[in-house]
Amino acid sequence: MPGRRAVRTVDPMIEVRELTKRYGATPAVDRLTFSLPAGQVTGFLGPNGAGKSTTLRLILGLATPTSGTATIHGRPYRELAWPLREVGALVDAGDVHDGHTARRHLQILARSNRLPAARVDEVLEATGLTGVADRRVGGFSLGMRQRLGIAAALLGDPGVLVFDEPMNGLDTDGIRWIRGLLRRLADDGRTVLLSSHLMREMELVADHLVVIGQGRLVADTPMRRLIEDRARPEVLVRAAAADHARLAALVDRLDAAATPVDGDGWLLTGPAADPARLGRLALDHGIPLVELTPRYPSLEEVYTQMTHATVTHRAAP
Amino acid sequence: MSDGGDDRRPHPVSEVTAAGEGRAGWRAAVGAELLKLRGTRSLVWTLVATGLVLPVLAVVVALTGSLQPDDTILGAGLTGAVLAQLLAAVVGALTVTGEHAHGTLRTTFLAQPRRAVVVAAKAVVVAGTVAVVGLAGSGAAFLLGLATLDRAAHPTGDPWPALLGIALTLAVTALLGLAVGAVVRRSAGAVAAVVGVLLAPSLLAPLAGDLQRWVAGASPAAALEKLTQTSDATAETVGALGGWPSLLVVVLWTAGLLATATRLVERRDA
Repeated sequence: MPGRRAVRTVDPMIEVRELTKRYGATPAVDRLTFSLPAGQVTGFLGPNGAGKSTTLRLILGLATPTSGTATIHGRPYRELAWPLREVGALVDAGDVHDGHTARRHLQILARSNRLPAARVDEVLEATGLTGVADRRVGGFSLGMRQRLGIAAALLGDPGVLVFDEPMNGLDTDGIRWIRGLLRRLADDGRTVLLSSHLMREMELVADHLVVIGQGRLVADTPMRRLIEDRARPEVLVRAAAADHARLAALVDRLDAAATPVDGDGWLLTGPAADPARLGRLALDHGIPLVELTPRYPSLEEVYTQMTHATVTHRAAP
Repeated sequence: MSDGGDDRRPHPVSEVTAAGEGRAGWRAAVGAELLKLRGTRSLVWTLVATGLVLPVLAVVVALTGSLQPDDTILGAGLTGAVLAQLLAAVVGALTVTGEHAHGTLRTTFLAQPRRAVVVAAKAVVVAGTVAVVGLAGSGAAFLLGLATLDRAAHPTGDPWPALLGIALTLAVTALLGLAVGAVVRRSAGAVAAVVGVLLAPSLLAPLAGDLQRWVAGASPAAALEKLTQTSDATAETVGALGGWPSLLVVVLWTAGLLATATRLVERRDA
């Protein structure tokens, strides 16, 4: 992984303040406030119907807020001088005219923001679409459409990038490619907002998380801290066979649920499952440990636990 | 970290061109709309049909000898004018409804979020293209009429500036289609609505009593028929208003409709 370079700015690049969007009486987005600094990939999470797409559309000026503001570098999207040079967005990979070629689609966008024609070839190359540039988009697979949507987002070399489910339809290579791309974009000092329901991918690529449920903010926190704060770790302890009986006796006296693992260790959960305390206890009892490993739950487990209360479209039992 | 993809990052625009002064404006939007039009087959073919229907029907009139005794060469040559007008309205409507159908309006608004600029650029491109196509088509139809019809038995009619007026009427009709398309959004609905708008004044005029000539004259089809100087354009069917005043009325209410449509486009969520 390339080292972090200095970020371009410390000001928040995307700022959402008391953002509210009502359809009739129901708020889709309800007094949402968060801000995103540059140089990070921020994951935007929430169950279906939580208001993720609505929030993104409000940020991108596609929908008008009922109240509150969403600004990019201090200005609403609709007031940006050269929108594609400031913000690149992939909202829906289907938003391309089927009868246009990939090249034509990008040429139209380049023309609208006076971007040099050479940029079209550059982003085609960068997204691996050069070979199909002159084919009609109607014949493209979902994965190729996603790449074209990403090419369009990169066209103006913007400092802010917004991707809604960019991994949909991509194969394993494609997902690995986009993971690397998102990382590089953030390491360049750009602001990257990524909405995805693929928890594993989110866990791998996001530095920061904004979680919403029923249009409200549930969490706005660095990825690591979310997982460490929200969930008590499980701790795996092992000792050599000679010390097994003594460790068993120690484990037995702890305020923790213990599950035997592989015949030589235990997985501990509960108040006493704290690696620092366990290490100290083992030392005090003179038990040499072979392994002492805290195990954090996956983002998916934390997320499920966190959003359980706010899921709007839960399947009937 | 090894990733399967290309490691080259597109280099920053600032290295390619100086950072843009000003803002993305309507000239850039017009350029984009022209590229869009050229790349969209349904629009190109409808435009081609708009231009061809006039000379083709001029030839049909000559071959079938279906010229009215009191008709002019100009009027007979331009028999296809109202058909061309319907097609022009469809061109206008499709420039907006096609984008709704493909979801590309979102893409267009991301590139140019000042939506009035988008509507203005579409209007310029549609009106300009239809005017050129209309002038070429009606000019060709008139020349074909001169070449094939009996000039001894029929007056020529005044081709100038009527041909310009016809091109202008077709362009205005395309704008009417664009406005209706922007309001209605769906292609089928927009086409049905715009055909209704074109035909309704002639159908409703007899019910309007003293206002008949104004109601009938407000129809884009009436303005067009007057300008083509066809014998079909009687006061009973298209009102007593002359061709140019009729066109002026049509221009005025089309402008109003377009302004309303623009405000609606700006307000609605995309």
